[in-house]
Amino acid sequence: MSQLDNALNQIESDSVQDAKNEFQQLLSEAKGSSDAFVKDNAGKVENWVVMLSNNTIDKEEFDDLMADQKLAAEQFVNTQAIGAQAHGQHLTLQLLDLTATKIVPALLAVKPD
Amino acid sequence: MTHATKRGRIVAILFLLASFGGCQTGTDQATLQTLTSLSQFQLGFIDTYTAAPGKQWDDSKFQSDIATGEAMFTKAMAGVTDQKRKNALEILHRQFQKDYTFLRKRAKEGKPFFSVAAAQEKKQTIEQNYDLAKKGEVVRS
Repeated sequence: MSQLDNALNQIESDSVQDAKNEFQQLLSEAKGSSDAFVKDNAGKVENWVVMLSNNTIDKEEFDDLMADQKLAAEQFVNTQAIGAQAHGQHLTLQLLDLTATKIVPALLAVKPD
Repeated sequence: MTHATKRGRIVAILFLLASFGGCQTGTDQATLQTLTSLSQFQLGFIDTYTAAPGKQWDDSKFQSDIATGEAMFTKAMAGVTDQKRKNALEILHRQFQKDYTFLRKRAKEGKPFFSVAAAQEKKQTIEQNYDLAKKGEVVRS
């Protein structure tokens, strides 16, 4: 079982099962992307969720890293031709937003201090 | 027109063409060099404000480093009209502003400096951001 699975398994609430499933689907899709930025983004998000769950970083640092990654995503979009932007941008931002708004709050709610 | 005059005009035209070529290359190289300088500064800033045993917070140095970075970004963005180049620099500037705002807030809360773990991750993302900005320059040239 991966470290991410261990972290996510701490979240048992039925109300976030859909979000967990969506998160894992998005993560899997992004990791399989042919675009290096999208793939790298997925690896970072996974790593930071694990780091947060095992107290290597705190919530403020996690939020700060996520904000860094959003700026990198803006830069990524700025380098792309308009037609090529849509899917990679959507997948990247969707993963960042779901992680920040659903997964991490649920994880923090069950994480021992 | 004499043969010498014709030859002189050809030389002048070739010089002008070479100058235009030089300007184009110079402009791209200048922007790439600016991005390299900003990147070195910004990564160095993260290192300076990463926790280490015995490291003490020096607020006057912190303010001075912010002023240095702001001056570098002001200079880099002066006269930039290319929209994508402007966007790229603004994104990098916001990254710098975000980092010192974060540090300032943490210092006030008694938790100065980035942790080693967060700084390592942050530096990778900042490097990636600069690499993308440089890629944007190369794509345009």
